[in-house]
Amino acid sequence: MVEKNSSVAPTTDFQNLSVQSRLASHQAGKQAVPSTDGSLRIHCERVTKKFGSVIANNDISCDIYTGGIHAFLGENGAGKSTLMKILAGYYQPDFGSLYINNHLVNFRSPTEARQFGIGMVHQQFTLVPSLTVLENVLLGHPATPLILNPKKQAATIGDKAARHGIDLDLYAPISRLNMAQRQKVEILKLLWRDARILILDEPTSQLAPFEAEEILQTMSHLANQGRIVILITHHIEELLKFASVITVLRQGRVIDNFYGSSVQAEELARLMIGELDSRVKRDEEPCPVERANRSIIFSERSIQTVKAQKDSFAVDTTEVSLITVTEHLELQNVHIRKSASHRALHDINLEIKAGEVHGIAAVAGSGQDELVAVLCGHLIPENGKLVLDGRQASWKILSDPSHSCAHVPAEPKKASLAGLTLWENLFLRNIHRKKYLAGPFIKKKEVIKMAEERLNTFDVRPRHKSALGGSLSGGNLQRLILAREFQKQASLMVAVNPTAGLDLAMSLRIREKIKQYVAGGRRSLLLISPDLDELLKTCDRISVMFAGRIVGTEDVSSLNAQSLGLLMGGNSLATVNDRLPMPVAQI
Amino acid sequence: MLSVNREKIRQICLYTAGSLFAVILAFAITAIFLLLVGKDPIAVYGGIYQGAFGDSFSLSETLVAATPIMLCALGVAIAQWLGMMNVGVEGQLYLGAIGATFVALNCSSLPAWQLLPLMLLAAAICGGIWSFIPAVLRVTIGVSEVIVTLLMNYIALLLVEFLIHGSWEDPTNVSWPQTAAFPAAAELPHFFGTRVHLGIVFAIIIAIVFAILLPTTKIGFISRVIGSNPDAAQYAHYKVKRYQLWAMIISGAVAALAGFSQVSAIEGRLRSGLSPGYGYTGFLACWLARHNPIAIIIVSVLIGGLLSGADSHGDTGTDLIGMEIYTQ
Repeated sequence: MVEKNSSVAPTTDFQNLSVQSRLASHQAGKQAVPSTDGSLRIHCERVTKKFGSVIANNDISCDIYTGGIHAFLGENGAGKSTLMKILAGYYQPDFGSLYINNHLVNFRSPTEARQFGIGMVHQQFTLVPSLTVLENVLLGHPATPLILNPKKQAATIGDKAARHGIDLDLYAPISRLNMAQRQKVEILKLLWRDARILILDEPTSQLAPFEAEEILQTMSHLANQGRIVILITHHIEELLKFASVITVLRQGRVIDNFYGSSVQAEELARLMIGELDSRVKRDEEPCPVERANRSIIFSERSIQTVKAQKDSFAVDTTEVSLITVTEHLELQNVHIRKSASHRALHDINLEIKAGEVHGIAAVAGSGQDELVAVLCGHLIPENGKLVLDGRQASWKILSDPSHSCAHVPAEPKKASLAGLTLWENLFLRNIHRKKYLAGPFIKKKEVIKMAEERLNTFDVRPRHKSALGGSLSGGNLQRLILAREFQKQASLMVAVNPTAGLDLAMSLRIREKIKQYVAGGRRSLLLISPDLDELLKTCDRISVMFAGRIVGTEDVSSLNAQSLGLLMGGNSLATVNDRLPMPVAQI
Repeated sequence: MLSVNREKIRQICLYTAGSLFAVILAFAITAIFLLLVGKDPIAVYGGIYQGAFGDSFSLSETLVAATPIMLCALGVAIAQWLGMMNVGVEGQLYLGAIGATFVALNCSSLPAWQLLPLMLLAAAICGGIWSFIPAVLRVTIGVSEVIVTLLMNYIALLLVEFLIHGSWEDPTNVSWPQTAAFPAAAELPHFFGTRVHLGIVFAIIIAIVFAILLPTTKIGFISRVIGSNPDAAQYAHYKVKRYQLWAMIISGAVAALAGFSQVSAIEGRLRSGLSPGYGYTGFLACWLARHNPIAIIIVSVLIGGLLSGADSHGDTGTDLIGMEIYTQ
């Protein structure tokens, strides 16, 4: 996603004496050496944290310094968030201790940690959309009096923001800001509290590449000013460009520490995933994935093909019924007026061919949600035509349960039932299927049989019959939804961020599953994802949306991350072709 | 698997312990009030129990009081299962009474086996219309059904007053706020010479039917999805608005049955003050029973027992007791 360029590494910044002194004494670039120049320093000593039978952090010892971004790399469930939450006072370790500047600290609550100058920005923003930037920043500060007087603080906050390169209109309501700007407000909140230790949990997961760059630049800048900046992420390319120290975590343990400039992407990825054998031993049941002959793509530089082996996602052909086989779906001149509940779409012309994976690349709020709503039958456009297989069709066909497309939604909580059981969740989209009904009654045995098979195939845990939808973790809920939608075998699947919350291995399986879905030429898939890497590797064609329009549709062979980034930022195709040299074809 | 069962049992124990504690606390606080007024709490409680379940007469009075509460509570529950809060069961009860009265007064020559079903139908239709109005406002323009149903209760009361003092005035007793007496054929049959009437059978049948239909049928499933997560129902292309509309209509119709059974079996005419708040009590019963149909039957009987027991105890403090024990 981000081009690797070692000359931008913070080690060349001459303010970074501590890092350079470490560099001077390190051997073979593998171990971080303690600094002796008295800057802020965090030391974790054998920190262990258990949740029931799950060991989230297992005997973790590490050091964190100022002078550059310290990144913690690991998959979902590796323990990075838990470790940081211990540091920020949300949890107490079961064993082990934390030292800040050689003082033993024991935070019993986030408030205590905050008083120590530790601040954390979570994956979910804690901003009030209807209030302005200024008000949100003030609300976060304990010393703000009961009656707000924003004008007094406005100047000081504005100053502080400018000094750290944060360029925001303090009086803009949050609802009008884009994701990167909201991220900056969160950081500003921490700065206003004079936080000296900043922890950011997956800050770039929702951002387009140019937005991610901005945030990471800001973070580098802050780190160079004597603060500790900790970045939790699973994006390898980003941290190779911006992090000065990388700690790889896997299954709750520290695997190794590296300097940002001295390690390769493949090595990091291999360490992040580790041996698949050990993961399987941890599971109750074996993962149905063939482990031999399988290697993984990580960066544009190292191109190795993924060979999915004999796939055990069996296709149940008896399930295919009542679905209009659509070879070709087209939206012509679709217009939607802006309203209180949705944004506008202007003159959308989209063609989804049978047998293709069509990607949509867009910054948040560009109209892709409205496009998805139209395709899934939730929104009927004012103007425009729907053309199926060359014939105009009524919009109503998209909301007919037996003909509608499969939809992996952006918000899984709005497509699942927390208070009902897992098999009922899977039944949600199957109520029209005759094989599960006996007159007005539900054939519970049949449905449960289907549910068990689906849950098994997609490895959803916990899997017992009476488990409620609400008991599933984010990743498992995503798997349940994928299981349900893939089973629908619809001729069009609209998948929005399908690999969100999934670890690398599962993400790759899903990408393969997506490719298989359209292989055979009768089905198509629309893939919307903030991960440009995913789009470039899975799709055949990509359309870019910006401000409610489709800016361009190109074959994936003539696109790369930079051109996509430029298009997503609103540039036209002509400008992009002018600015960039002809991109190298991606395999 | 075992751990799940253990967790479930633990939760059930905790919940029961919590409820038990609440009940004991309610009795204790009421006892304090009774002592302040100079009454012996144990004697009072004993008297209430006697009056509620002590002998066959008490029991029959309890069931008579429980019937309209049960029907109203079921009405509230039916709407609530799909996320609609129907506080208008009191008004729908009265509309049911009006519908039944219309048929009784105008078709008085019909035999019972024709008259009663006709009265039931009229009551259900009137109650259904009364709840249809707030429902349609809610699903089309998003007006809060809580407010509309509540306000329509007052309209229903005034409508009854209008009819009683107007065209349905009792010619034999003009100054009394009531209609003429119904023909004998318009009376719902009673059981074993007590005042317990067929209405309670309606209630129990309705409760059992819904208790079976909700978990086992496709319509029941769709209803539960709409009630539990309307976003998910929308996502799955269920016809949410249509289901919500019908849920409210049926809710009103069931509450109307309470009105029908009261005027038919107990009162024998439509009069002012027909319902001493059965609708609101029913609403409370539904929430106490957490909208579970079988629990509604039990809770309604308990509340009916409380009302009739306190009534027969004949003490001035009985209303107070009633309120106190409610607040568990």
